[in-house]
Amino acid sequence: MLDSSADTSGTGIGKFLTRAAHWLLHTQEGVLFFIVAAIWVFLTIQSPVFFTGRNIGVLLSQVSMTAITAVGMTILLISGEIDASVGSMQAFVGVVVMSVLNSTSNLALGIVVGLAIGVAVGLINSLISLRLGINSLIATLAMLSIVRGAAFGFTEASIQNTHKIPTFTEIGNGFFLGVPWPIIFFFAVFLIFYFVLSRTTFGRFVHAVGANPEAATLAGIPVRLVKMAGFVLTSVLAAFSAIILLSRLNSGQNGIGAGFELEAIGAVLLGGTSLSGGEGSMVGTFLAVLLLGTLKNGIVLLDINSSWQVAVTGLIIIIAVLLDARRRRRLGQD
Amino acid sequence: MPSVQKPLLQLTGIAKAFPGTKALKGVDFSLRAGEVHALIGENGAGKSTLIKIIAGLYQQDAGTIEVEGKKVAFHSPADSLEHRIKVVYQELDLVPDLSIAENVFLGNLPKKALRAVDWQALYSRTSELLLDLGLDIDPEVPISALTVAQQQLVEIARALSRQAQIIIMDEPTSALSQTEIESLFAVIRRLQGRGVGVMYVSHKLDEIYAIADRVTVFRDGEHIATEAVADTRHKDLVTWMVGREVKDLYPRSPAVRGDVLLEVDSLSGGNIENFSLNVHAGEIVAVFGLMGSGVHNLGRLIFGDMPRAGSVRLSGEEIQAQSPMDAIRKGLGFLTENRKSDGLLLPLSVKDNITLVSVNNYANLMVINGQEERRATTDIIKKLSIKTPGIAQRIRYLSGGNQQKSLVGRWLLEDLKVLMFSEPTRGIDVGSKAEIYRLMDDMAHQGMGILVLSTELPEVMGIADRIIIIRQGKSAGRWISRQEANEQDLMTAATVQMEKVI
Ligand SMILES: Nc1ncnc2c1ncn2[C@@H]1O[C@H](COP(=O)(O)OP(=O)(O)OP(=O)(O)O)[C@@H](O)[C@H]1O
Ligand SMILES: [Mg+2]
Repeated sequence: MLDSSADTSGTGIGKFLTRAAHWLLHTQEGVLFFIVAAIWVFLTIQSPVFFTGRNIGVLLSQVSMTAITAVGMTILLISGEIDASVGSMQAFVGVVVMSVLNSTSNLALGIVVGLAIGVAVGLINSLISLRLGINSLIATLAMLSIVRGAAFGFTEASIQNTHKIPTFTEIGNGFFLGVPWPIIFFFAVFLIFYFVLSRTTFGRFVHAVGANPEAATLAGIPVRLVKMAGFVLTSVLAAFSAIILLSRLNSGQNGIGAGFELEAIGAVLLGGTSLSGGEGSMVGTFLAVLLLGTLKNGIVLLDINSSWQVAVTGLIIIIAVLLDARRRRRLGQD
Repeated sequence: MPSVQKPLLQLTGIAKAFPGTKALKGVDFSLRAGEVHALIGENGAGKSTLIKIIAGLYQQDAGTIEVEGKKVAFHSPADSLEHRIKVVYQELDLVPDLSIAENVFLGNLPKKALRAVDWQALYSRTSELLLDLGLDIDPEVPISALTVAQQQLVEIARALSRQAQIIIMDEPTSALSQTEIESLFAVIRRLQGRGVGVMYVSHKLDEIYAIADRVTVFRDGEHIATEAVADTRHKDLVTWMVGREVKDLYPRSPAVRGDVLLEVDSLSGGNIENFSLNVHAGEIVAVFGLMGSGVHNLGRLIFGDMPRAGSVRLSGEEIQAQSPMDAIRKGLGFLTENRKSDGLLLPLSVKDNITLVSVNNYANLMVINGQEERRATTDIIKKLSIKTPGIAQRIRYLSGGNQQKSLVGRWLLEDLKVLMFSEPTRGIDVGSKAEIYRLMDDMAHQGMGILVLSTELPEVMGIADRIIIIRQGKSAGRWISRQEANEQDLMTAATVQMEKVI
């Protein structure tokens, strides 16, 4: 009964090419890859600056914050939940960490406090969504306002860097072996959670609770615990993004991060992760973030009015929803 | 009325391929006015695919469809409806929050001036249709308040409201009680009398004899035979379907009865009151009950998926209430009767579905050993002859029966002491049924205890060492041994109270 079409590991070069062609034309990752590659070729021709190590470094550093948060968001969306509060986290974590650094000059303490805020907000999000049974979109939209309020309550103006810890500035602006640190963080987070999602039992359970929570419960999977882990993970990664952003801006600003949640969620959806849970792709998220960064970078290089950078997010979301609808139509009735 | 008339529906040379599967390889099927034509075949033979082609959900790769002698092409379900064809799927597609009347006339509401809905006409016309089907119920009641059988009749009323001349039913009886099946048959006969053609898909061969005039058999996407039911022996049908004779459907051989494994004591919850039972090593025990008797709730209560009073012990250890996780850890497994809502992970692969419970066994520090997991999956696919193009195929693309087999396989991979099966063979073909019963027998011989919760009398009598009947949530009478069991008595014991209530 087992015949060999869907997943044999035959090594013929022909077979490899067929599968590569299928990936390119028939999967969302493939389509995204195609689009990104096409734009890269276009920009390389249009602008001599585009395909230089320096510019690619800038491009990737710029999207690293969105990317790191989007990695957590991918897992959370696959588990059937969502977190809209990550935008305000950029501000709240920023102002708190900066003031801790200013008053203690202890870098490790500042980072721990920042990540702890991530854990706390993630726990609150999961508590409201899972215990009180409020839809997580609504619950975390409320948290979006509450956390923003907390940032404004914490400080009325932005908090400048008065501690001058040199390592702190390195986080967002330094290099390691010629590669900017934010890119290293971005790739490390991506690789770790790509592995977690595709190769571990936790990753399997994330898919299961998103696909059918009742079936997961009856298979002995601790559904709430898995979802809670998704909330906390997303929030902690959002806090990590906030620390990188803080270092790049060199000041804690209570108004920063507006629209950041849309960018992260939009990238995840564009990457082919389903709003209804149970399926998604980390590689897709990676490519979507790359597309986002490329578009923003292109706008600058081609001298287009840079206000359009903000509009790119909206564009991404519309494309994401269109692709999602197309996929659903193809799945059809089962 | 056999006549020279053109058949209502004539399908010729229909072929359909999916990536990795040839679902239909050029099949013929015809339906005359006023006949019931049954379509049977193994799981994955292509029955549902053919129905979806007639419904306009899929387009055939080759072949023609003729309605009353005229060639037609269906590009969407609307085209099919236009030719007065109505499909009643097993997963009913009614809107639960709307009333019966709104559902019956959905997309077709009677209107007054200014396009306002004519509610009076809507309700009175629905009432007429429902009464015609023997359903005396308020048309303003929401669908969510109805039983599955009633919902099915609403679907048929919907067909009648559009003057359907061809009605197609895909496994309509799998969630119906015996009396409900009989009233469905009465409705079908009435439709037949009016010249409606009915295409009927089922795995229950006795139903074919009860209702169908002709029967067509498919195997592996090919047409094997079309015969008048009256001229066809049960044995031939099975041989045509499976390609060989199924000699021993119930291969139960006595095993050594060991220690008691599962002890259920004064269990209450849902509609269950004070139910006790136990299962020993080496035993197959069955609880038989009619639809609605609580036989299915019993499984959920024991497994801890519903709040309960009373105690459940496995090898003497108490199993925590409301924790399927604890039940599994202590060695109890539970196959639910509701494969779509409680079993399947539709977006996931066949492999991920099969290893859902046992995945920890192939993992070290949470990292899954892919090779071991694939090997385990492949074993199950072979053992249960699951028809799939590969282990990475998404389970949503498997046929209903093959999905069910995958869920059975899920529990075979875990090391358990007792396995509860609620309707283990729902939607499964005869050949595979025998295979699953043989596996149960094997497991009992290896010292496991098996508990079957079923509404299928032949299954219960064929496979169980002892049987207890559940009626209105309580145990009805004493344990009945395999030797004593007789169909008449069991049925009476399960039914008698119910009739008094009605
Ligand atoms: N959308 C699809 N994509 C890929 N393969 C499909 C799809 N639909 C059906 N198949 C395959 O086509 C074959 C026929 O399936 P079909 O559902 O018609 O079987 P069936 O006769 O109804 O079986 P059952 O008795 O189990 O319901 C199966 O091998 C199934 O896996
Ligand atoms: Mg089918």
